[in-house]
Amino acid sequence: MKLRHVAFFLRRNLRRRRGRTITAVGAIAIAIAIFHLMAALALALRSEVLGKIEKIFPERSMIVRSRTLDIGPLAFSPSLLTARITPDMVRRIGELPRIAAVWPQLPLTAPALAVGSLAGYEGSTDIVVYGVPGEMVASDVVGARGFTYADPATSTMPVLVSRYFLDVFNLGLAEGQGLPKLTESAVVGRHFQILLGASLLALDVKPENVRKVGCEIVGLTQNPSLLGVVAPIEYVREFNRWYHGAKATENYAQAHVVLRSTEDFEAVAKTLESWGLQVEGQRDTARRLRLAVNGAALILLLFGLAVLAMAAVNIVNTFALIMLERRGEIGLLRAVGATRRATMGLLLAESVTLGLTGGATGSGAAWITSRLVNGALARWLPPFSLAPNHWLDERAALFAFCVVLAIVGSALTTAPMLWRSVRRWPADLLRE
Amino acid sequence: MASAVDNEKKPTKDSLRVNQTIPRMGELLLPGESVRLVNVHHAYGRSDAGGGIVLSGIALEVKAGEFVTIHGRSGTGKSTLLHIAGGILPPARGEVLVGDRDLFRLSDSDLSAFRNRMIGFIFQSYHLAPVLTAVENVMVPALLGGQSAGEARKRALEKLDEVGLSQKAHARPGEMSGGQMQRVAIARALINDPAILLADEPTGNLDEQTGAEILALLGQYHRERLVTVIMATHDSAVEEHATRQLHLAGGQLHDVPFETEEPVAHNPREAGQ
Repeated sequence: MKLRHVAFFLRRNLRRRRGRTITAVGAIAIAIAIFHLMAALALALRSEVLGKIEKIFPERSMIVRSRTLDIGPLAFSPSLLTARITPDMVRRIGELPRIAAVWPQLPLTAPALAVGSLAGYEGSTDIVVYGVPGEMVASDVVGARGFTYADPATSTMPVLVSRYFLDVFNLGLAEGQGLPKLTESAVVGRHFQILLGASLLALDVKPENVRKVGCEIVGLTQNPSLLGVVAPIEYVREFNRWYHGAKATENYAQAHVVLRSTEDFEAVAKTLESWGLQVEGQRDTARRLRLAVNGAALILLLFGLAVLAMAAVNIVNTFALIMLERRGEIGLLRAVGATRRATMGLLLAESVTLGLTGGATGSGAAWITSRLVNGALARWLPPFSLAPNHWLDERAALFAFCVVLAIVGSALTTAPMLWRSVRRWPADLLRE
Repeated sequence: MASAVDNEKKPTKDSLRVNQTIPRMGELLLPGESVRLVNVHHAYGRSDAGGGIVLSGIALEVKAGEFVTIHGRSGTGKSTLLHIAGGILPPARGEVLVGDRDLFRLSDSDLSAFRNRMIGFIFQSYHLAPVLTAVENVMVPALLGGQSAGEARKRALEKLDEVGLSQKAHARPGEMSGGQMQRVAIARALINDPAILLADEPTGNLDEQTGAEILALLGQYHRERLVTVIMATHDSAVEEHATRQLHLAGGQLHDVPFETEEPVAHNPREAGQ
């Protein structure tokens, strides 16, 4: 039978059995829509939250610092008893096998006061500044200025600000005082000044020894160990020397060690601890969080599949009834010359059309719902660092997958029934 | 007695060879060629104690151009005999030969082509597709035979005109009377100009006058187109159109001479005994 003849029967059957067509398409559409939404939620959970977990609790990295001695309420690192994170120590760590990178974190040891305006308010605050290598924060830098050193007398100093400050401002100050909320794009590119040597808190500042440094925010960082203002390490080294002169030390507060593989964690940690260093890793936390996220995603997918399975039972029953009431029609087609293959093709085309229409309708509706929900939540919820960019996955591949699933599902549920019918002799079908 | 076979036989090498030589419609049953049922047995359900046996060693030869009627009480196997002769039900045992070809040794595609081109079926309960209009129902065999939709529609309208139903061409079965539906079924059976018309109690659901009109229509086709007609019927009015009358009882066929009421044994085996 030619394709145009299939279309002849198909069009008439679907149009003139409108009630049955709408019922079948509706059942498929509802089941596919629920499955699509569950899958979209699970995929968004995985892609968004797992990415954040990896960023906040990187499994392949560890923080190395001087060992701390805890004596009651006090914790300190006596230099005679514990190893320091010196440039030499950083070099030694970097020379170990299994190490991908070592990024030292140099604290600004001079008092620093940030002065600027925000939402029309002038303000100043003491700040903590860390100097880090550019590679450590490369993924956080979005500003055109980049994160490279240039003479601070003639150009601004690029800085990163902790993303959590934005949360504190948006969820605290802005909420409480009715100020406009800040987004990342509103913050990046802003300028402010750091007054080196000045402080609202420190007692030993010398007003005659204050240096102004112009700063430009080039990005935000979610790294929990960079709570403060982050600048290229060369600036901090220069400012420490300017403030302390010959007494300035090159010791780092801590170093981020990136491993080649998570499997190397135990061995490297053991080596570093044997050198008198303290090692902190987020591997277990990351694993537990990832397990929880994957578990939640799996439950959502299973729920979606369960809905689909329940719907499939109903759809199979509907198709079985359709086949039952159309046995005479199948018998007639066979009696007047339709081959088994043509009859099978004709009726399969019908069920595939129902699957395609139901799948596209349901998945399309779910996709539109996803977009609306994402848009509504983005407008309604205050911006905070852990919020996913999408609550429901919007990728077109999910739409395509759901449509294919509906088509294949419809074909597979009808094919065995059809095959049983077309294998029978026309007279038997007509008699029933 | 073997029970009814549900599934069609798989194509054989022989049947594929037949496929290559299958004639176009109207050419299979050449003048002088016949449809032969040889030692055909059939039964439904459980055959123990002979309860399910409907056909028992039927031997029948219908020559091209004959109008054969098969009479008999309900349930004696008249419809089964027509279904077997038309290739839509295999006999439990025996052969159906058209020319020298055994229908049930043909492949599915060959047998389907035979049904489409050579056979026109008219059923007591019409078997019209409810979602199709009269003209669309008539078009179905032509479409399955490979004609374009336009060509099939044109022929279908001609056939509907021939059976006097052109004014109902776009009505659906639910909007037609029994007689009109049977005319549509006749038009459908005739659209591919079949060599053999198998009519299973075509007047069974109709009133006397409409039945007579239907019989007259079939008689006219038989005379004008030399179509071979095999008709199962209770209707004695068909006698004026028939060239031969048979009676089916106890799984056996008997000739019914036109001049007498006494059935004569037709089965050669039985006749020889």
